[in-house]
Amino acid sequence: MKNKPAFKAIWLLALLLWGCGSGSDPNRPPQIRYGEDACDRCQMIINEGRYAAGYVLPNGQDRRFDDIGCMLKHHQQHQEPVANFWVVDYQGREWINAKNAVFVKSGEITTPMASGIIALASRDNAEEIAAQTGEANILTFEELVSQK
Amino acid sequence: MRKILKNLCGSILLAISLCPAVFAVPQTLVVSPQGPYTELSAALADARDGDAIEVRGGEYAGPLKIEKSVALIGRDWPVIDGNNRGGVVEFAAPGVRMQGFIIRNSGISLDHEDAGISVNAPRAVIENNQILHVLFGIYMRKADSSVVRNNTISGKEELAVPRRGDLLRAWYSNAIVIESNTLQHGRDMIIWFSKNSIVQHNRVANARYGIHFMYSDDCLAEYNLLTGNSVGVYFMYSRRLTLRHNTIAYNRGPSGFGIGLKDFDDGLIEENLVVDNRVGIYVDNSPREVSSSMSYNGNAIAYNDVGVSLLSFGRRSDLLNNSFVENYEQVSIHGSTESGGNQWHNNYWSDYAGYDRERDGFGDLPYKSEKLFENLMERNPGLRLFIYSPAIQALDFAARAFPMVRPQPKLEDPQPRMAARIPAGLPGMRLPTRWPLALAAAGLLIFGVLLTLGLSRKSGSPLHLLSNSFNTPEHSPGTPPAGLTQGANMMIQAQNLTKSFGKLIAVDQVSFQINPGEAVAFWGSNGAGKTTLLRCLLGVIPFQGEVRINGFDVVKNSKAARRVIGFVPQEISFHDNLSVRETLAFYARLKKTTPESIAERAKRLNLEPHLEKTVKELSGGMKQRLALAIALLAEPPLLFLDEPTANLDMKSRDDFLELLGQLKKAGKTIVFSSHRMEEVFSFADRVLVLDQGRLIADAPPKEVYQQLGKRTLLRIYLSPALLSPAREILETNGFSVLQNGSGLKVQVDSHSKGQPISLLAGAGVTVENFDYEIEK
Amino acid sequence: MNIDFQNVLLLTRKEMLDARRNRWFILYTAIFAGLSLALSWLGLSGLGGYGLSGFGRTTASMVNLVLLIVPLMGLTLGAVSLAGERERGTLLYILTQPVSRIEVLLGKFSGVGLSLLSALVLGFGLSGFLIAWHGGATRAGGYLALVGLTFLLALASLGLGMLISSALRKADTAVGVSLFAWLLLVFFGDLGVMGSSLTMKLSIEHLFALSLVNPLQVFKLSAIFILYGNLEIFGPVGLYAVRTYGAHLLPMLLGILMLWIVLAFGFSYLSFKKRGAL
Repeated sequence: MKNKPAFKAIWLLALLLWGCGSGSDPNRPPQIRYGEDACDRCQMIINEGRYAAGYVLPNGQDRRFDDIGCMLKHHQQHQEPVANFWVVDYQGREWINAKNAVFVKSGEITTPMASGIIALASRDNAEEIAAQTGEANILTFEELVSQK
Repeated sequence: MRKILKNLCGSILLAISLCPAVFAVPQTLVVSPQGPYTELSAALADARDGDAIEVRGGEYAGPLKIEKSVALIGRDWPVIDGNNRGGVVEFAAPGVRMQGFIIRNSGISLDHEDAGISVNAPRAVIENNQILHVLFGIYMRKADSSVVRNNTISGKEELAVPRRGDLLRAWYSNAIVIESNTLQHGRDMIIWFSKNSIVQHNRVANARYGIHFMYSDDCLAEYNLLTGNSVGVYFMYSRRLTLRHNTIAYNRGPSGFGIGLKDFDDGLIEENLVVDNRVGIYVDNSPREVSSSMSYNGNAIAYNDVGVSLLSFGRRSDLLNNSFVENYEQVSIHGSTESGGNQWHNNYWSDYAGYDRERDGFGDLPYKSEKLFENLMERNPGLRLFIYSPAIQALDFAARAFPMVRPQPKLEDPQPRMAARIPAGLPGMRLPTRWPLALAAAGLLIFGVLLTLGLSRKSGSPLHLLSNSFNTPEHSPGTPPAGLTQGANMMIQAQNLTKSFGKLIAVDQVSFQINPGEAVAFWGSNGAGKTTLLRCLLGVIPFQGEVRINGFDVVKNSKAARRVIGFVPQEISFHDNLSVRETLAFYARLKKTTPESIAERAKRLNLEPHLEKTVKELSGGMKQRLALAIALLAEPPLLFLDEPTANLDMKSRDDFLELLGQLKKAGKTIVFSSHRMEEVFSFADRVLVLDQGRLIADAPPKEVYQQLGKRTLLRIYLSPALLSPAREILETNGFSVLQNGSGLKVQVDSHSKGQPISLLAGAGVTVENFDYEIEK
Repeated sequence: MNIDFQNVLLLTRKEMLDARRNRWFILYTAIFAGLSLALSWLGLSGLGGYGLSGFGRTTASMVNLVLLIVPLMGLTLGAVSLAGERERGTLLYILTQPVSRIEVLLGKFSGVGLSLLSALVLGFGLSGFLIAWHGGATRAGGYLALVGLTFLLALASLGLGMLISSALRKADTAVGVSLFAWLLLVFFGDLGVMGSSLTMKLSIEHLFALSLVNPLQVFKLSAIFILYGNLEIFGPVGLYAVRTYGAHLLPMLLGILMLWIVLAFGFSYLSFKKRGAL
């Protein structure tokens, strides 16, 4: 082989890229690029952060949803092992672990897929919103899951 | 009395007509910058249900809340401006009509859903308005039986797509009609929880969802033009919708569906044009209920990445008379490969390879979708990466050739249509402007023609085109680099020069020096290493050891070294199609010399009459002259000649040697290789004798002659007929003769080297050629 | 390294003159122009009359043609370039002139490269006219960008061809080796990755990384990215690539393509230097 350096360089390049590609932490919230990523259940583009939800599989893969209702339905249907469920705080627009969130459900709330469910970081905020909205229920994540 | 009564009645009638404030008869209030009303809000405050307010031009500040069932009629495009804060107009009473207005600049709060027009009551009519630069356009809540017709609604283009609102949203509003509106730069047209609605003749471009039906049964969408959106039409969680005669094109992006159907029952998808979407028709879990079915009829599905994509599907769908034209993947079936229950009939498939012998318009063989790559791709979506790779064509070709690897057909159309069937009368797409591409193509062509013809034109050979850049000063042969003291005045210094080709050592530890003005011959038999040595001195092949030419290291500073050398190779290879003039011009440019030198050299070497001939028309002697002319172009102090006379006849040889003699007189250092003794001895000041790559002698010709003369072999070349008579003549004169092919080898000593030749000449035997060889 | 660009320019021109007289080159130009014309004709005749031609669809199928033909052109012309002249002895003669190896190599590279460019622009120009004539919806900018990218691919394969050529004496051998390289790049490479993806269940990340090793795949990804602004047609791998590298994707792909050109040229230079004129 006359041109060993060439092969070496290609291998190095390949290995480098190989190394870059893998490894993802299952304990971080899912990554959603609003306006670009599509919901894994309804295939609609996820536009608004405040309704978004998602979960991360133990291998670090994300599932992204435009509506908390989509996440619940998708998980119910696929029964995947999940490291963590995540929802976006309707007011603070930050990811919170679904276990720590308080949910308000009402037919009066217009969510992207009409589930009428929003998530909030604290019970006070949830009660405040529920008081302003007609026919609203306040739920924990467990209650929400068992409801369906 | 009768008369009085009659007068009274007349007065009352007059009073009724004159006093609308007293009697509830509809009236028209006029608002304009000139009055009677100058403020819209003032007119609204005075108006009663059923009144009309005519607004003649002018600009009015929002927000405007309409709490009476009035008709607002705009003339000369009156403007209601929300000043980019909150909503602009709100309908709070049923039956409000609004037409002919420009409503613009809503706020940008998604939380408050700032809208151009919010309709919170039934039976609104919104017609012929321009609703511009708004977050939400028309937002209908519980607005049954409303009509939205002929409006232009344009969103806030400057906002990032996720920050935009819906240009038209209907929420729990049944039996609405949305007709002939133009929507752009917004998010969606949304129709949720709204039964029996009609959406027709609308144009939606560059939005997220052209039309999005959810939880809305018994609706109809027709003659809409939906282009450049993320999804053209999305139907979800609904039943009995009809979608027909729509043009749905260029809907791409992460969703990228022309038509999306999800959890949808009893749909009729008919005669739509579905062009160049990522997925033409995307079907997920539709029909969802056992008792329902789907019908796709007469659609033209063309140029999509995937024509029809079926997920969790496999039942109760009829696909008839559709045309599948050049979709990269015509149909993809995921989840279940079982396609039972679906009827594929009389569709056109652009990749159908069958024939129609009866000429009834339908193929005689069934169409089978059985591409191996599509099959693999559906099993492993990662393989989509290889779309457009030629390897895919190879794979599918192989699968056709070897039935063993052919996959199960994913669908079969028993009687495919032979010609595409394009639904007519659909809303037309704007034809692309042709001129930019035509212009680009013209540019490319002109560029290509210039490149091929202009720059490499034969008549415009390098000399002609570059003549004006001949201003580079002629390089002097170069002064040796500073700091070189040892032997700096030497023309050539070679130290332990060794060159091997694999195991063969062609030049072995050769060292020598050559002074300026010397004529030195490399002498030796063929294969002694003369040519290789010259090539090493020129630095054109890698070697071990060190060579300096005029003080320049031939490896490290090869260009400077070669600038002092003119080289005439043994086998002369020019580019045959160039003329003599072009050849000279080319090398003159490489040597950075002036065009005048070409004429001068051509004259000196008698090449002038041949300047316009191509090189391949030249004789061997002329080629040799041309090579010498090129070598002399830059007037180098040093000439290398490799077997300069080997390919010349005797006459040309003499002429050439004479020329060399003149050059030697002119003070050139001349290094040449030869296996001809007479050249070496007549011309060289010094002879370096090479044998099997080693330098075995370095001396003036006389000494070499004495040293080696006894062991010399003379080779004589003759025509075959003369071989035996010549041999006889020589043997009778006491020479030992060996016959070797078409030549004779004669052992000669230093005193009788020329004798065999003169003997033969005396006997009338013509010697064609001869040379000498040192015997081992 | 001291490069005299006048010499390079001169050698470039001579090389272009030679290319114009090279039967292979003329044949390639004709084949490329013919096939791209045929492709745009066929791609548009289906529904072209209805003003319905695909948005960039015809251009995208040009990508397929380019992938098949342009590497063949570059590799074989590159393979003949040095070995052919070496065989005829003209390479040696040129090198005995006051030029350096790098100048000769650069002159050859740019001369053959520009000749390839002229063949490409002729083909693209003719079919561009046909597409415009038929009302094909292809953006002029995207079309020109595709021409530029194709040129990069041509240079990369030319560089590889020259690398082969720089190490071999016989033009025939060099062409043979270059044909093998072509098969490897165009067919066996992709089939191999597909096979390993199916058997070893390669992850999306690794599939993408492997595709970057093949300059043809890199060309394909960048061409489609320029034409469509995304890589959705390539499914999960395309989405992964855009999601992971975002705005850096195109510069990265172009960088890799250029790296191929530079590396191929660099290694041809080293090999040429080692082997010399013989």
